[in-house]
Amino acid sequence: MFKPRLIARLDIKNENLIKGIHLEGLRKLGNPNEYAINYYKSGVDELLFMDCVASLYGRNNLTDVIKKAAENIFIPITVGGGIRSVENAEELLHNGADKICVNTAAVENPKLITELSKRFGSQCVVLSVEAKKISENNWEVFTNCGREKTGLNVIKWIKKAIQLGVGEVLLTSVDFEGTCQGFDYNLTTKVSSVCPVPLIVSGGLGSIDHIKKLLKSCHIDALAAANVLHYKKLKPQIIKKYLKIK
Amino acid sequence: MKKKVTIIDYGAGNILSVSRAFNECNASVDITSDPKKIKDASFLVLPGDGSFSYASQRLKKFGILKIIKSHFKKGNPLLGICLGMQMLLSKSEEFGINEGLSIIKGRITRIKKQKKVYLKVPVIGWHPIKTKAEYYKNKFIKINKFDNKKFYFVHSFKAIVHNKNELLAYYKYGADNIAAIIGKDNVIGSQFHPEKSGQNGINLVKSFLKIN
Repeated sequence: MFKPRLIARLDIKNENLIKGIHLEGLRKLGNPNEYAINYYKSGVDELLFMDCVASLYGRNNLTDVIKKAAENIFIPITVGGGIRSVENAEELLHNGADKICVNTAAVENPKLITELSKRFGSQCVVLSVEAKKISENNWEVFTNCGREKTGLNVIKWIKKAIQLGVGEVLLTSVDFEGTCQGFDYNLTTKVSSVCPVPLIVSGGLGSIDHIKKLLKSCHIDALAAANVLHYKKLKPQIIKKYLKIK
Repeated sequence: MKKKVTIIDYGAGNILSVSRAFNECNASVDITSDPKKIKDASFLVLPGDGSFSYASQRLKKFGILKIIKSHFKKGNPLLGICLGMQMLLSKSEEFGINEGLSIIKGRITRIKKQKKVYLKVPVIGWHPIKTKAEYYKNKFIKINKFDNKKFYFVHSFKAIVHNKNELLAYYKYGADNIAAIIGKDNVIGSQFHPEKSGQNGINLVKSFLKIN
C-alpha cells in the first residue's frame, strides 16, 4: 500500500494567512503560525508556505514566519514565492525551510533550477507549476500567482524542468484553485504520466469524493490542501484516511 | 543538567530545525564550523542535506573530517543525519567517487528506479522502519522501540554497509530494503530526518542524548 502525503498549503500575504479563488480575490484568515501548529498537531505530513505577492515585489518575505514555525513544528516545511537566487534559497533553508519552491524565477531563468539542485540537492527543489487550461488537452504555465502568461506548455515545461534537476513538482490548477469543485483530473493524469519525480497536486479539493476520483484517475505522491483545511470543511485525519493506494 | 550538543555547520541544509529538535529535548546547542569548538564537543551532530561531494570537500577544507574521526575514536557520542549519516561511510558514487569518514565500512549508491510507478526517486515521504534488535543489545541506543514507527525520508542515494551488524534498521521500498539507521559503538546515523519526523523523531533524539 502507498499513502500519498497530505500537505497543508498556507498562502501568505504580508504575514497573514490568506485564501483566494483562482489564486486571486484574496481574503485574510489570520496568523499563519496558529494554523500551522494546529495542522502539525492534527497529523498533516508537511507544510507548504507560499508568499503570494513575493514575485510581484521581487522578494520573499517569509523568513520570519518560517523561523517562528520551525520553533515547534517538526515536520517538513516547503517555502515558495519570490526565490530568485541560490542566496535567497540559502536564507530560507537556514531559517527553517527544508525545501524551496520555484516558479516565476525558474521560468525566467531555467538555469536557476540546476544551480539550486547542484547546491542543495534535487530533493530540495520543488517546481511550482500554475496551470491554466487554454484549449482541450492544452494547458499553459502561468507565473506570479496565476497573473502572468508565459506561453509555455505545461507538459513540456515539466519535462524540461525535471531534466534541469527539480526533485518534485507542485501542480496547481489555476482554474480549479479555491473552488472546492474537484480537481482538473485530465490535467493531473497528463502530468502524472510524464512525471518520474514526486507529484504534489493542488487546487480544487472540496470533498472525499474528489480524493477518490483523483486516486482512481492517476498516481499522485502528495495532495496539497488549503481551503478545506482552513475553513474546517475536512479534518486532516479524514483526508488521510482516504489518501491510500492499494 | 542540560546536555551540550554541538552541531557542525558546513553550509548545507536546514540546521535550524535540527537545533530546535535538540532544544525540544532540553539540550543546549552550539551550531559551529569552528574546529576548536568541534574538538571539545561532547554530543556531536553531523547534519546534512544535498550533495555528498560538496559536503565532503567543505569538511575536508576546514579540517573537520579528522576531528570527527578522533571524536568517534575517543568514544564520544556522534549522530549523523541524512547526508551526515552517509558521510559516516567510506565512499559515495555521487558525482564521481568521493571519500567519506570511513567510520562505518560501506558505500553510498543511487537508489535504483523500480517498475512500480509510485516507487519514485528521490524518495520523499514517511516510511515505517524495521529494526534489527538482535544485533543491538545493550549498546548505544535501544533500537527496538522504534520498530514500525514512521519517519520522514528524503533522499536519492542509499547506504550499503559491509558489516550486517552495523545495519540497525531499514525500510521497505518495493523490493528494496533501504538502510534507515546504521551504527556501531558510540555512533549512529539516520537516513531519515529525526527533526522532521514529529514525535518519533524527537524520541530518537532523546535516545541519542540518553534521556529516555
